[in-house]
Amino acid sequence: MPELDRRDFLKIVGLSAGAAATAACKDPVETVIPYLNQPEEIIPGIPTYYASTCRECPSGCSIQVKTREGRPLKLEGNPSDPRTEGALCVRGQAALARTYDATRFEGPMKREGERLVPVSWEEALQILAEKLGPAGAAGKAVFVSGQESGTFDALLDEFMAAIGSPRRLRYELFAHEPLRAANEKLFGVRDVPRFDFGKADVLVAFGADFLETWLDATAAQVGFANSRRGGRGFAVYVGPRLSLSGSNCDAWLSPEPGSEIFLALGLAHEVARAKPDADLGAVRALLEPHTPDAVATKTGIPADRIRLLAEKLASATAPLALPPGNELHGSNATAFSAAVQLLNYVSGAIGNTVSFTSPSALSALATYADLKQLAGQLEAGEVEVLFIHGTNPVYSAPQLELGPKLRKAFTVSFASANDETAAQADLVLPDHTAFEAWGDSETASGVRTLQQPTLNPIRVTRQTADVLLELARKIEKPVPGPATFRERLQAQWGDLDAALAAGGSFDLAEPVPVSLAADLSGLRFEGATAASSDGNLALYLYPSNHFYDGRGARLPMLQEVPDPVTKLVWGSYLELHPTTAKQLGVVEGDIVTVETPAGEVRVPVFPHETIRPEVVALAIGQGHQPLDPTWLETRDRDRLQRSKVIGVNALTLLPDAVDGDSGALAWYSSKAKITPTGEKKWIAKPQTTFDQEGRGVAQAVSLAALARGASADPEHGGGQEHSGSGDGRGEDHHEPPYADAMHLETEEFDPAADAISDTYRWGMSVDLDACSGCGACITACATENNIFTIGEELVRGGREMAWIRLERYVEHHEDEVEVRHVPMMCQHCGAAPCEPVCPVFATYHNPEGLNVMVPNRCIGTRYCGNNCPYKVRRFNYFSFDRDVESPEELGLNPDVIVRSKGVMEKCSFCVQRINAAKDKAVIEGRVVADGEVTPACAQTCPAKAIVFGNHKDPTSEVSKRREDPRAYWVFHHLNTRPGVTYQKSIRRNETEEA
Amino acid sequence: MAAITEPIPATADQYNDDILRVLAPPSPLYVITVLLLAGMVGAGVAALAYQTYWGMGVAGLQNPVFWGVYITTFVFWVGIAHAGTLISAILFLFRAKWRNAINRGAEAMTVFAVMTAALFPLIHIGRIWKFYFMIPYPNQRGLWTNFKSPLEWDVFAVNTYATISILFFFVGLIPDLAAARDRVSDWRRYLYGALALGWRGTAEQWRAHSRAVLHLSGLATPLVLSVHSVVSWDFAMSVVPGWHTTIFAPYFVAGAIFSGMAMVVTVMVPVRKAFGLEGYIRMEHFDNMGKFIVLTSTIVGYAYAVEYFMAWYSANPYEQMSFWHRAFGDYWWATWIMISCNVVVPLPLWIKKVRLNIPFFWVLTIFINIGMWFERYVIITTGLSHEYSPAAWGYYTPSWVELTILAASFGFFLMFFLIFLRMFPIIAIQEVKELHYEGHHEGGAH
Repeated sequence: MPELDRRDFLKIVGLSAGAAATAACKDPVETVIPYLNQPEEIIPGIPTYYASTCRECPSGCSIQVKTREGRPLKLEGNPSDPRTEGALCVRGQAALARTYDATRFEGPMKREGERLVPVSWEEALQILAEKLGPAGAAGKAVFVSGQESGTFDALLDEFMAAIGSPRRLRYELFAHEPLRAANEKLFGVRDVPRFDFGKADVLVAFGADFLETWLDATAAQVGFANSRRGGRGFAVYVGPRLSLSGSNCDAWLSPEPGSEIFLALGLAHEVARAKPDADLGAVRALLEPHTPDAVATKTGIPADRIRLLAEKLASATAPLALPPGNELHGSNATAFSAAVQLLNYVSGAIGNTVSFTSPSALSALATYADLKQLAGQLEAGEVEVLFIHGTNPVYSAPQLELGPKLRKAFTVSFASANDETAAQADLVLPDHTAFEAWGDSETASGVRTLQQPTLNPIRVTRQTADVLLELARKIEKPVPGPATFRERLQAQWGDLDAALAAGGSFDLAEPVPVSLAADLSGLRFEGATAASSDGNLALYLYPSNHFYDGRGARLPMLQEVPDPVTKLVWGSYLELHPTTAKQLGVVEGDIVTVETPAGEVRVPVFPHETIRPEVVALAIGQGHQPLDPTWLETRDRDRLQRSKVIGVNALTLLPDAVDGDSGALAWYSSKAKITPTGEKKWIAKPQTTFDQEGRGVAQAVSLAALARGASADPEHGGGQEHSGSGDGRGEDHHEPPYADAMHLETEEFDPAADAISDTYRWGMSVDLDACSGCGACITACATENNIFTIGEELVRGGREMAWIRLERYVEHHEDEVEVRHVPMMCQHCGAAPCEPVCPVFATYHNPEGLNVMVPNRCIGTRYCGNNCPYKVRRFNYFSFDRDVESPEELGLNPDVIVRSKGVMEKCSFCVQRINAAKDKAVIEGRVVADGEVTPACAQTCPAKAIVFGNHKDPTSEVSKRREDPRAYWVFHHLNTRPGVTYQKSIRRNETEEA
Repeated sequence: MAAITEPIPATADQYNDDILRVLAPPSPLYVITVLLLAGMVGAGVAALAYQTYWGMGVAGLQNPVFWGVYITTFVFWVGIAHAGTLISAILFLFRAKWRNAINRGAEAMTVFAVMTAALFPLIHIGRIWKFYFMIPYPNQRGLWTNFKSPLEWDVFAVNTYATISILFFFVGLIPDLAAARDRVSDWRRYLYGALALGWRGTAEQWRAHSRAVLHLSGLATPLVLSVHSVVSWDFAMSVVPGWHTTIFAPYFVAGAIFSGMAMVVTVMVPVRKAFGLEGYIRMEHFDNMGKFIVLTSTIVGYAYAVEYFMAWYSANPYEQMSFWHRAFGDYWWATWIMISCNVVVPLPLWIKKVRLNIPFFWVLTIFINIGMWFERYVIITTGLSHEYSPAAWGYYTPSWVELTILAASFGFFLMFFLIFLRMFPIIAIQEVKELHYEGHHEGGAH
């Protein structure tokens, strides 16, 4: 045996100790396993796009789903969809999270006592078949769905017919009943017309939040922005609270609560008077009493202002008045809608900007009265089997107390995740999510969009259509036609593959002319009346931009995008005017009870100035029941509050009062009594002030000054104009500092200095005149860049992670307010203050002008964050990836690093997209063309406010926009030479001619 | 200084006895105190471990206030560290003989304060386990450090300062270590023996020693000015309103000396009492330190005034808003603590009687320490919380983790100081002896 000498011994000891130590501190090994049999269409690392349909709201926008290795990662609007032109809204961008939601049903569930317990599909279907056979035969089965159209809708009809009980209800909270009823009275068409925003030059919105939830809001955003480019267009918002849509209008009229209808009539009166030659039939007589002076008395809006606006409408080539949305549906909702439609009629908008097509999918929607009738039938035991798919009436119609009533029938829910209605079901047969399922829809007549699976179902779910087909066979009443839904789609579409490649067919149906009914005697125009429990403040409930009818509230990402008006997150907040708050003796965060004859809620107050003093406002959509606590037992943290009730369900405040003509629930029908409770909530406020202190972050220029050439305005030195129009609205009360240096001088812009590359200096341009502040960019960015949702507590602690901060500023012009929205992301400065202060080059300037952040190199000194004047750097205070619940990790974008605790991050201009485009260009031996790289924010922006491109290419869109007289840099005087140029919003003045 | 009449030890041997008395076995009170301080350090370590595990979010830091208590405390301790070098090096070069009795204590303070300070940039960074990314050495990562970054300058400034301070302290200690070696007979003999580097007290060794001290003084003197100037550039080099100002370097240096002197008094008064060193640390020392404090307090007060004046005079709205916010905004309380403690509280020290009233003086210095900590807190938090973008304003409140670590830093500093007191001569024996003999030549005073 060889001798082991001392030196060898020490060597061995040292080596093994070293090896042990090294092994101990090594990161865990991760292996990349290639496909054994590579699926067709999938190349690892290369995304595949599938056309599909967004099902977050009834609009049914066509989308493209980006998938990598069989997992959908990102949604983008389909540019072929003529309504959205490739845009997608804030909700649509967050929709993927539903598929990867860890709280989804694992599989079918059946009721056992008060709980839902798992059951196999076979057993579940067997149970259901036994119930359905006799119920169907007796005509006692009802199918309640959301708005459906296309093949699935037809299948539902056929299925219910086959089982012998053709009773259906297409229930949506926003069913536009008054508008449909009004159109029936006026034009004999019980339908919702198409509103052509892109064409309109003068728009009056009567409380319709057309950019948020009203009808096809994304299409409206696209059209609205298109109609206003270059300073065109003029929009007026009528309503007690300046919503996001309102804040994008040029004037805000807030009549006395309940008297809004008279403003519509007064305008119609004046427009009719301005058109003495027009043949308006009985309308003139109908409008006779509503002179501007009479209306002024009722509404409190000066008669001159009504005349002025009517003049604008009368002289417009494409006027458009928008009938009220749910928030202004009072006891007179149908009459109000009719008044607005009359205004459209007299101003010539009908057939121009307002057109009827073949019956739209919305025409088939049930009314609130229909649902109430169903509730009565349930109560009376006239329903034995109730199917509920894609809608949550227990939550959205609390007046009807459907929960216990559902238990009287055998209720079958097809919800893929738990909700209030599914919680009352006897059987849950979870459907695939929109990205796992087949489907098609035709919301706007002529635009037929397809929906196809983009991943294998994550849970043991089945497509409802196939479940129904199987069920029908099981009870031996088969539905005629093909046996699977896929085949039925095929039969419907013919060449399905070609259609799938395009995403559907997109030929907007031709309008059908309508004529005014001869007999308008049925119309009664009255103000809205309000029920009260000794309260004196009108309660104004409005649909939430983020949660729609409440369905978005389950998506944590949407909870965390600040509300476009209050900029608050994760909760319900009672909005009231500061003077009202003062009268009530409450300050921000004080919890009050809001009491109406129907109920009461406890909610913190948030005073702000863009609401009428006699009104208190509350957004709907919150206050969902927490998830089954058993789900949470296995989780250590509940940062995203899945076990808690977030906010309050404002709908519980609505009494069961119906607008008789249409069967719609009267939303704007209560006075609320506000009582301080003495308790307080520390509100999570990502933005603490709406006053920009004259710092010129959000700049504006009046149309008049722009016409004069604002950049060359010698008197006022630069772009911050001072309009001399004398009415006060043109004045900018806050002069930005260094006003004389604020305008972007072209020679100052030096791409050569900012980027050493010969070819590229990446940059962005944000047109603030187009930007509506909707927040779609924020959810798009979060999905694309793996930005984690962190929960209310951390937002309150100031740890927000969103790379885009949508700043909202309120400017005061005498008695008027002007709201400006500024998306603020990393400016990729040419001389970035963050770069020199980093001791480890974790942030540096790349040759193409990007301010690159390398998280792996970052040690977290956070100096860059301090030194960033725009405050767009975000620090990982925790390892948020620790909170990722399986299967959420499947939705992470593999092209973007998942940051761990202790490092900085920020907007990268979607550098992964730049690199992908450059790779392609290099292979093809060319430079990247303009428009070839689109960051997630710019891609989804419905207003096309954000444009990305190469500043070194003088023909690029960003270069052209830089030359625009409206172009400016935020904090120009700091000489940071941002890569992002903003374009001032344009103030359109009522008194000026456009 | 004829007015100072405390007894000066009669013979040179007495010095050894008096000063080395500290080497006797410690009292239970001492042991308990050290253990308590160690407990505070332990709490700080636990808090740091907690923070390292979960992330910086357990601190109160938030957007946009990315720096808070940690950087405040870093600057505070760097400032404290300045008095030692000032007393040792600058006053040595200026032949201000009165320093001899307090220089050892002040130097020890410097070393421990730098040690404490140096922990904070590490505690503060998000990924403490990657701190070595800041050290420029050839590495397989192929990365280099950014010498444009003031934080990188800090790495060098603090390390240089720590090196020179430790050397200075150690070189001065060598003859006394030898004296201690000759006095004890237990295990400490070996410790002192090793540290004394074979000191025999030969003329050659004394000559080399005094040369070394002189040269190190020369090296250390510019550091007194440069280190805190560099630290101030952490702020001044930024674009943050309230930070970006040219006055910061002198303002910070004056503040450092101000706080350092105050800390010397805060620490030395109890030590003097506990170890019966009244004969060595005499009234004249307090008188002189009081004068220093008054002078630097005035400079600091002037700097405050100039900052406000410049904010107004610059007509820069961001700067104006920042300073308005500082005085009357969310952090008004911190600002007024700072102004009261640093400008108003030291005013009585203009009066000699006050300077010689040791209990009163001692209480004043505690206020000054508080005030100087708040000075850095005010600068950091008010500047950051109210920067350019109004949509991104915020308010920072320290968390329990930060406050625990702040408390632990005092524990850390005092624990080392107390251990030092019992292990090493607190007064430089050879220097007071020098003073003694020179004093005799000069007739009992100088």
